[in-house]
Amino acid sequence: MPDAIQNTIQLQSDAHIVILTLTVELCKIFAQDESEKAIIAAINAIGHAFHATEAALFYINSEKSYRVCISGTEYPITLSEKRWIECARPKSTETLVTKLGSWSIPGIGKKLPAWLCVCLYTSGSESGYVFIGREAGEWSDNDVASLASLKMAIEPVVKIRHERAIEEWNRKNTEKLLAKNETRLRNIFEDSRDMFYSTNASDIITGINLAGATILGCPSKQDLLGKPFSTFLLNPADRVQFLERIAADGYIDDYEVIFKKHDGLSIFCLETAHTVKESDGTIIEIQGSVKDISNRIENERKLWKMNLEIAEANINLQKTHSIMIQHEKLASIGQLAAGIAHEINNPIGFLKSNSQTLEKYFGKLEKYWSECSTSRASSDLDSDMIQRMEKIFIEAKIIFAEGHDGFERIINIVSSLKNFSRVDSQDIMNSFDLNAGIESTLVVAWNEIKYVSEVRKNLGDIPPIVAHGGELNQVILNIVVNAAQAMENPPREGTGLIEITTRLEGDHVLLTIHDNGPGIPKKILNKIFDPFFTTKEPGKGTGLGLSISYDIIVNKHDGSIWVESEPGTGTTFFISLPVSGPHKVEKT
Amino acid sequence: MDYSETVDKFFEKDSRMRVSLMEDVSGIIIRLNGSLDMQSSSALQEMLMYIIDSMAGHKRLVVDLHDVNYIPSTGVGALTIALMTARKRDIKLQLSQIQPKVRSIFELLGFMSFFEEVSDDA
Repeated sequence: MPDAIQNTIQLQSDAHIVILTLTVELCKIFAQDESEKAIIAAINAIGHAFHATEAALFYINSEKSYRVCISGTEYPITLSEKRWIECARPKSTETLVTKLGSWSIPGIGKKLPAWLCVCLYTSGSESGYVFIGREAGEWSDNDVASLASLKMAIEPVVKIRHERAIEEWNRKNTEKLLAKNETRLRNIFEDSRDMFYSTNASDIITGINLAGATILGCPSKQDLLGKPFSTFLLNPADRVQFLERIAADGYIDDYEVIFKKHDGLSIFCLETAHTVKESDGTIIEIQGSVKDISNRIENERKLWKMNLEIAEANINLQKTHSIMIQHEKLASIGQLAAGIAHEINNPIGFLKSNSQTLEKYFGKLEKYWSECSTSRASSDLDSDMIQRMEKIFIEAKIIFAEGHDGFERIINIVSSLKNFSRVDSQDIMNSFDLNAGIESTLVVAWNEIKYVSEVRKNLGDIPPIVAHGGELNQVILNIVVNAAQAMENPPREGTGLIEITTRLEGDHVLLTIHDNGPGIPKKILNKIFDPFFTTKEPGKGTGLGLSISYDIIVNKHDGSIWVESEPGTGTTFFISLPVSGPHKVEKT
Repeated sequence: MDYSETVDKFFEKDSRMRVSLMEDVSGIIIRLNGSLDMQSSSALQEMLMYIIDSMAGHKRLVVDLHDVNYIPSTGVGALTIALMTARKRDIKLQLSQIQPKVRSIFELLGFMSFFEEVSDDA
């Protein structure tokens, strides 16, 4: 074989061995190290194998602008996007391996006369180009062929490595994203101010957030995990109902639930929950949120309470108003009565005095007649006439006597009426003779009493008391007339009896009014002083009499009034009045 | 008064609360059965107001809670409002056969004392 051919073959196989060795070395490098250090090591290996002065790798985009350069340095160098075509002036960019003329690695290396450039791999719009440069001479065709072979050999490996790197990068990215999301969701769960919880199908707590522990007043979440949710309810048995409902419907909205806090207090909460089910319908988990609505409930409660109290107050106000109106009416009737009494007094006065005068004249007439009839001869006078005259004088005396009675009765009634009304001492408390008040009241009430009842008085020796006489008379009238009316209907056998007694008991005067009427049934005994309470037919009584009496005795006079009654036997009213009057009175 | 119509007007047939009404000389008795959740509470309130409005005065309205096992705050509120309205119209609203659980909620809210309780034989 000729030497030239043998040389060529030898050269080629030498070159071949170099390439193979280099390939193996590069594979090893890439297999061991996934970082950019591997690239640097690879570049150095290539440069070394080709006896290059400089070696570098550039990432170059489709517009042939540099992005990053990795050379024998430890770190990648970012270049501004200079176009390597302009810098390097390649003769052609279409061949596998490109020969470049005088060029230097931008920003780093020195100018070298000859460069070889090969694209090691392409990914997307970027390609990785290896540049090797030599200080002197040209790159031989062998070098070009070797570099091309190297590229062919190493390209798949680099591609796989590159793809793995991208995969790895994506994986790390996804992991980071998932972690971020997980943190975000966890924060929502943990940081929420409402309780979020999860339980298994048997109501055991499997998850709960910080708010949950706070709402229940527990120091930590650990106290809650693993325990039945019902443990923390005020009434654990309530949970059964909740579970039944949620199993039936799959969810519950706005369910009111009361928890018992660690310190024993109860909190009102609102719970919304849903079930997580298997495909066959069995419940795997219950998830829910609980909101503390104690404040809202408290506000509502206060509002209702206030409203209720206002409604009560209103009703009381109405009652008081009615009582006051009735009181006013009675007061004005009293005034009217006193006015009438006053008006009647005058004519009665002169009627009485005229009558007395007339009586005197008749007396004189009788005397004259007597003288006449005895002085003249009796035979002159008609015995008939004498008899008639005598009859006239006798009857006249009777008529005048009756007149006296009549006048006395009218005067008595009028003065009783005036006494009873006592308009002259309207708002001031005076010294009052209770016995006298009873007497005048009985006169006023006589019309009501006389047909149904006797009256027996047992008025003791009592001092005058500080009181409002007109009002006390009203009270006595009220009770006495009630008694008489009770005895009237239903009608009874025999006459009724009203007994009135007064006596002194220490510093109080005790007045009792007893009747033997039908009595008051026990059921209504404690109601008789209630305003508007009446057993009379509508129209026959307002039901205010006794409540006004109560008000007068208890509130105005600091006294007491109570009743005892036995159905079938009778009723007794007791009134106790302080002799010195009510505490805050101004005496005149 | 046709009570079945009244009930239908306020309560859907499939709601959690069943209601029946009875009238006697003393007034009207309402029997509740079920749980008073937010929805049925407001329906109950409307119905009570309607009945109170159409009742004559001096009568009583008894709410029988024997079959009520759950009452939220809105339920208590409904009864309270009905109580106030009834008072204004001189109608006595009374509760009967209050279950211990329901009673404890009334007491917790402090409203037990406002309501008059009657036994069933009244």
